[in-house]
Amino acid sequence: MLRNLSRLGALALSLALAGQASAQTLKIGIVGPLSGPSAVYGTETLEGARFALEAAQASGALGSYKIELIPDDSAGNPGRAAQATARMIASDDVLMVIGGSTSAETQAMIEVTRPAEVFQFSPLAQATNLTQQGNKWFARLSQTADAFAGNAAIWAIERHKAKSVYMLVRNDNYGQSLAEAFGREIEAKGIKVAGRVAYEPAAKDFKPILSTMGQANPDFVAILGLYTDTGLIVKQMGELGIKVPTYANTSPAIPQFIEIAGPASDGAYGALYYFAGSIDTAAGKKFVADWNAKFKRDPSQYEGMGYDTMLVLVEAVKKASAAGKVTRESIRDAFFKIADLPVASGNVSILPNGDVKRPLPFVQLKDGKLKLDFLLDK
Amino acid sequence: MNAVIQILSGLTIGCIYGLVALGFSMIFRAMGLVNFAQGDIMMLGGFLGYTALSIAPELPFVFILVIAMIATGLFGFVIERVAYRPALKRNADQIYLVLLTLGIGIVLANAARLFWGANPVVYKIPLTFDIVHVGGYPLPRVYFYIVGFMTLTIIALNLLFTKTWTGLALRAVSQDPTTSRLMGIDPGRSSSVAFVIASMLGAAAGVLYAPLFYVSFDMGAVGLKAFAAAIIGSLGSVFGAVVGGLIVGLAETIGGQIIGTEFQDSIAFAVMIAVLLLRPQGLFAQNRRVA
Repeated sequence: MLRNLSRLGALALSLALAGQASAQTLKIGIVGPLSGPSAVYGTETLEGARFALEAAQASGALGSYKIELIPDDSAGNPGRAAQATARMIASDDVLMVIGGSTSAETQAMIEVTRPAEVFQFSPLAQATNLTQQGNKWFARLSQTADAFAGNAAIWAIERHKAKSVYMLVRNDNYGQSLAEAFGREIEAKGIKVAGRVAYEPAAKDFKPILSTMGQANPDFVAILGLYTDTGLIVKQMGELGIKVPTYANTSPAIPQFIEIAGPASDGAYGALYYFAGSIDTAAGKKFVADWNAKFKRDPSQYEGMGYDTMLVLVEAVKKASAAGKVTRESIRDAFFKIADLPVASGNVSILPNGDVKRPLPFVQLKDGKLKLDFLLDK
Repeated sequence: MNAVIQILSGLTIGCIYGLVALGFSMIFRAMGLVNFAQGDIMMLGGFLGYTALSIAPELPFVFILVIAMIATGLFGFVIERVAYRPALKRNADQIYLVLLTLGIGIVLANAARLFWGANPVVYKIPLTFDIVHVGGYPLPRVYFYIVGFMTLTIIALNLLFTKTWTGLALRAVSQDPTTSRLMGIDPGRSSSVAFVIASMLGAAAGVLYAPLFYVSFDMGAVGLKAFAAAIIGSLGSVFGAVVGGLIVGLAETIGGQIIGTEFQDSIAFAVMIAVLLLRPQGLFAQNRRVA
């Protein structure tokens, strides 16, 4: 009896070892806000990443590897994001880290990943300076704030034939950096800047600005701020009867923008990280169809970004594996070799400085729903 | 056309500042205390109105206003009994009292963030987006509610202070608490009444502010401008608080357009400094309170 048991034990052990040998686990940390006011960024990105990972593991796309995602909650707090990253590197010995969601927490994580020489890939962080630090251990999937605003200017001119643009700019780093890029493109194309007004982040009554703007009679308005201000500006434009095509930055995709602006939000334009149905490729269509089959709704922009983050990671694992062994260094190098990879949000290339090249969808709010206005793919 | 809309917009915002400034003045008259939590009381009123609206979306706006005022008035009563009055009874230093009011404001703002969340909330009622045209000028309908409420408040406070024993007692305590106590007036009761009225006015400001903009946990900052308004009109003066509010509202709106909107927030304080340089006691100084 004892001999039989020991034989069974030996068999079980050898099977387990064989399993381990056939599928080597790659531990990947993923840090983002899973609670608190900015939880939507983290939870939806994680959901999208898990959805893509499930499909990749089931299809055998990872070959002899298996990815284990290790999530941690930053609650949108840079300090907590940095602590979580340090813990993952020290205790879990992760291969690389995905995150953060906000620019502030991403920068805090960089302070940990860079000296530890662990590659970090952010799905959502937009601050332009994140990729201007000569850091070879960081890249991102989202366009920079600079690229968002610069492309928005190109879109306004090429798609909407704007001739005279009025810029309303949130008077902080975020708003001013958007305005720099937007204004630069507008002026480079010889388009008239009818006015550029900075408003205080805490401002609520925009009627003095809007009255001045009305007198300038622009044919296009760009509001470069957050949904709390863009919502009130669009609402007050409606109250004053100002009807001019308006770009409200990324706000139209945020439900609170529609609540604040009310009926005046109808017709507002904006840019998104990703917009379901905007990509007419096989990969783009497959994602929307698969997501709808499981969740009975279209994916959100953050779910799309989480999904694509995982697709890029899977491709990098394949490249690193083909080149030899998957290590912290080889996975980093593989990310920088991603070029024209067809994913849900279009074809993605990681640039040498860690920035990304991929399409940017512009949308319009119509009857409370977002509709694709234009897909800028430059 | 623009100038008319600007002036009306400034006057309406000024009424909101005036209502909060009235709260500052009421409490200062009764207790000699500057309640820096007054802006957060306004925020609380705005959120309580939102909750009432969420529970009973069909309720008319006026009922929402009354419910929020009663609930916030009760809250003010409790805060006065639990926090302020014991501190005053122990002859707490003014610095301590100022810190106490600031602390209560911060706790209120954080509690609101925990309970109602960090995102702003919008009153989902037609009034939020209703526009009426008067003489060809498009005006939000809520402007009329704000101006109407302010007018009623001035009349009601005037009646209170001139025709009722409670009002006369409040005036007596505001001028000389010791003598009024010797005359049989209970200063504790007077401070409770003042706190309840101030909280109700703060709540009204919050509910009336909501359809114009939105309600958020950090909107207590409005209280600082209202404080400037109360100082301009002489802290403790009911009439001065209203006029101070209107001056700040108009100066902000018109000055913002002339000087530049990025300086709009500084205008209230610039006006306050200018007034204090010319009239250190404010525009409507009354007899000094006897300690």
